[in-house]
Amino acid sequence: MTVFKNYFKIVARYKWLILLYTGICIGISILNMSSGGNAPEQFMENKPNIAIINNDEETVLIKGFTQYITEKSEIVELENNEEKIQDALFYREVDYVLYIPENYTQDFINKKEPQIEIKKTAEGSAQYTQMMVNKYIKLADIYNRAGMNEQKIVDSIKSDLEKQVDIVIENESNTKSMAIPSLYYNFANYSFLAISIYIIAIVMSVFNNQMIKKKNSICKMPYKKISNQLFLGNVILILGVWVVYVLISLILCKEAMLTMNGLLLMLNSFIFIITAASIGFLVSSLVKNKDAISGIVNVVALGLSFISGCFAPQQWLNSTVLTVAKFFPSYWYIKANTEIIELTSYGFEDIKSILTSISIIFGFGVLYVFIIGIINKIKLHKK
Amino acid sequence: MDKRGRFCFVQVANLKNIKMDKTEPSPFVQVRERKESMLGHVLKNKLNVLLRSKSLIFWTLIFPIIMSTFFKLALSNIATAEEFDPVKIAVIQNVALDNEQNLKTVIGELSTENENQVFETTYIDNEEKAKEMLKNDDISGYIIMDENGKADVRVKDNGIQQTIIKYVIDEYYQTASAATQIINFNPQVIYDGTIQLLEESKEYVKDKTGNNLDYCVNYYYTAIAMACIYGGLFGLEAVKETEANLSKRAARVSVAPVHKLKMLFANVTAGFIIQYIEILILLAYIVFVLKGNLTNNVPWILLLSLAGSFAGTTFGLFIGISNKKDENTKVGMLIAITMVCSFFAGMMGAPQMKYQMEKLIPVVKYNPVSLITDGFHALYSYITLDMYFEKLISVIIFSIIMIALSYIFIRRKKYDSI
Amino acid sequence: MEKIIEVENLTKSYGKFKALDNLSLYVEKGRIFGLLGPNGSGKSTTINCLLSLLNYEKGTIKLFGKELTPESYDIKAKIGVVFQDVAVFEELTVYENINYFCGLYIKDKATREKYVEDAIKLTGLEEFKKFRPKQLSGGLLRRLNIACGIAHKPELIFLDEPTVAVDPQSRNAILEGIKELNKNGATIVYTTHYMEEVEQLCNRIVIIDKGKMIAAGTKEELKQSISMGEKITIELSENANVVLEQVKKLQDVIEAKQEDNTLFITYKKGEEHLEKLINFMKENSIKYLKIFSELPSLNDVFLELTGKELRDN
Repeated sequence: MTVFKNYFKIVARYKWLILLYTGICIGISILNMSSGGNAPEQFMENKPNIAIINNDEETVLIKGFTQYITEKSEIVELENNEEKIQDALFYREVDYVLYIPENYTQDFINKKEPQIEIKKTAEGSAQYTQMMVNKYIKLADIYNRAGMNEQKIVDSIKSDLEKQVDIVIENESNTKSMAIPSLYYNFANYSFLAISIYIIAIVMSVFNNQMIKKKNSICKMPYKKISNQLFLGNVILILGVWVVYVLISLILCKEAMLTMNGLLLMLNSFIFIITAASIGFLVSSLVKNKDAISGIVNVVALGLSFISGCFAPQQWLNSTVLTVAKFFPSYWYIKANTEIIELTSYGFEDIKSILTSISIIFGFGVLYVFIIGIINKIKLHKK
Repeated sequence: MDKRGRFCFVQVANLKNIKMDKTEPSPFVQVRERKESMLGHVLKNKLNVLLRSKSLIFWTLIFPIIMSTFFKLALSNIATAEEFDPVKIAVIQNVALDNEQNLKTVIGELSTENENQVFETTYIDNEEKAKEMLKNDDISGYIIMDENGKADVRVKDNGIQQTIIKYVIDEYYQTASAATQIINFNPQVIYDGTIQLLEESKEYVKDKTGNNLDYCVNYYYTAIAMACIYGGLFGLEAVKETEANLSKRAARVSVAPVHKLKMLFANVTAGFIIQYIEILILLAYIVFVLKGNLTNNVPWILLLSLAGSFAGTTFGLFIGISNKKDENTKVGMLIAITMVCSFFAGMMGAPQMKYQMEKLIPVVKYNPVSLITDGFHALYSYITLDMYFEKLISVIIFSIIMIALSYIFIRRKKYDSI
Repeated sequence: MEKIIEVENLTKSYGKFKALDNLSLYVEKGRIFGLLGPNGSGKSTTINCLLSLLNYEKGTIKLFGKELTPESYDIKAKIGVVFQDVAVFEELTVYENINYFCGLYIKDKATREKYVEDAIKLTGLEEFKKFRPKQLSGGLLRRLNIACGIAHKPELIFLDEPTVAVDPQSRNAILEGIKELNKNGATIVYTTHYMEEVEQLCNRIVIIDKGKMIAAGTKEELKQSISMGEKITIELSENANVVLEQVKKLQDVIEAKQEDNTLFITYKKGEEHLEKLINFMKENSIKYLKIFSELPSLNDVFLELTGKELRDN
């Protein structure tokens, strides 16, 4: 057990670094949560921010149009200053800006086909806004050509647009309430990988350096035993991180986490972090070069997170990329998380695919441990 | 005769430290004095060392390249993601539906398999089955007509799919209503073609936006910015050469008649040069291999990259100088802080999150990675260079602050233990 | 003789542990000065304090008559240091390494080239000019380390345990090189725990242990200072136990030890101990195979002064 004790002595030496990393990852996760849900499942919830710069007079038509826009969005008051508008767009204070030119209403009624200039961001909500704007003006155009006057146009459009179909949400999925923990646990994919790989790499490299200096005393122990004790040490360290992580989620989203969904999230993350620990151990066995470590941490943690849908949702990713991602545990972790969020009933059939994903993650862990074993054997042979 | 064919006076002189009188030219000397400035000597040397540090160069270079490649692979779909897959819906086949032939026709048209297909429709007769399909996520929603001829849309979630269903059905009813109103008002419209306009989709707005950022390019910017700040590793390397508790060579330097500041300056400059070259390689990779359209303003990109590299190197300098921890810890700090900054610059997560974060805590947009990213972004989307310069100058100010802080720490350092 | 280094009452602690305790010493110009002591006695600490690399609580240190501060470039230019750890660039060749470090002192390129060549010749690295440190054996690496430290022909050279873990051939080369440097006028401060080297090289020696000065003086002075005068080793053909007791009772014998059939007898100062012992053997018809006498070594000095051995402490 000396190796084990030694291991934790090193951990103690680097405790501040470990805490820093864990703290930062958790901090970012929390910030991530507070930015609210932006999952595609919540598209309707987010009203776009629109600014209207009216250079025409407050005509009936304009008033009607403005009222319509106001119902569907958050109106942002902006000065008619190009620079300020540009900045507002840049910082996404506003998603869509309408410039109604002088004499617009008159020109419109006279069928001169004036155009409203707009500026928009690349966001989807801006695109949607454009559709709504076009809808209104098209109706106004047709009514105008049919000969209606301004007031009639506005009233007719109003009555048209009242004809909306009711959306009835049945068995509302927990998506909304689980949105925040989902962000937290999805981001954990990155955190767990980054922490595991980096911290294990540092502690292991220091340990290996010590080994080289104390060649004689430790050589008496069989390599496999050393390796096992080290692995155990790594796992315990990482589990400590996991406990902290889960505790924070329990504190911040108590109601959401104390559900079956929450428990499944915890289970999923537990299995995943153990696999992440084995990845960390594997990386540190393969890579001795210090310069390489920092590069690899980010390539593996950021890269895997990216292609697995940790940052950009899986739906948005290229199918080839997703296929590649399937060869790594992160993909299955995110997939399981996504399904857990939407879970409304908890029969075996329902959670079957989640359990499958979790088993796959575990399988990867076993695979990596196996590979580590092979590497050890090769090293032994070399000696 | 030595290699250069000069007759070296030194060989003749007594080896015992006879000082060469450099002011008086000796009769048999053709020696041209080649004095090398200390700065130049150290700089050249460090450049040499860095260029030969294969693993350092490789890993600092390869990582941003891999990240950019990942971005390209993962996000190249986004532009075409606008072509949605058809939304899966079910329609309850009942008497009420049969009475609304028009709606049925419209849905049918939208469900035909062509490039404009909007729906993938399944017609079922009982609602229970539809509920089941909804529960299992086989459909995004189902449409049921009630006896009054009103359509109900039942869904489970509230997302894009559902929005599309609602939009289509709304459009149907609104268009029908408009058609009725207009014909009632002026039956002429049927004959003079006005009614046809209902079917057309016309653009009534003119997009003045100019360049709108390709989704993927934004991530490239964050990758470049992160790579710049990662250059802090070279700043750390420079500190290693002068801090006796970080490397044994530095102890040599401490006893040599060299000013510590000069040493640092030379080493930092060498690191900065290498860092900038790496950034240039990264830029070339993104533009030529990944075919990312970063901007048309090449000189400004190069300038901002220069400032960014400098910011990164000085940042590493500061981290190295400001505390007495060991190398591992310093590298760890650099990575951790870069990670946080990259997060705030929008690398991890959907872009909206970055903006919401900035609204929540305005000060975060002044971190170096964000500044550089925004600088690139401004170059792309603004017509004037004002915002670009604002960001550029902010980056330079950041570097100056780093240098100033480092200087404060540089005061003669003696150690309690090496 | 001009004193190039003067240290008075130097005290340095690492936390609670006192590394140096009121240490005073001086080094004369042109000499080879040896700082001898077991591992952990404070040799490196002394050197580091002398070089202004470490803080110390009490004491004064003067080099070339002045106190050394980080800005004392004129003094620094005259000093060369060879640290215990090899401090070179892994990425540069032997030649480039020496050239770099020499360049921190010598600005003129022509002079520097010459000096670098001299240093290479002095340390016997001619064949290895284009090698990288990784390709060198331990001994060669040490030689490179030395070359980097002395290339600029300093007046005062510090060598901190330069021969640890070095093969005998390299060690000899190093010791010869140091003598050569001294012959060329450099003052040498040499720390080690190998007494044979000190015996070979040093004019004046200070022995320290646990941060305190135990003894100081030339080799002869030190050896004279202890009570031991001579050590005689005699290898008997049989019955060593019996003879041991008898020998112990002889005149001027301080101590006698036995190992198998060999006796190690330590004598006080005096004359003709060897003759007297041979006579004693003759008188008692004790047969012996070998007998030789040696003067006390520095290890003996150390042993007597501290009760410990210099090495393997």
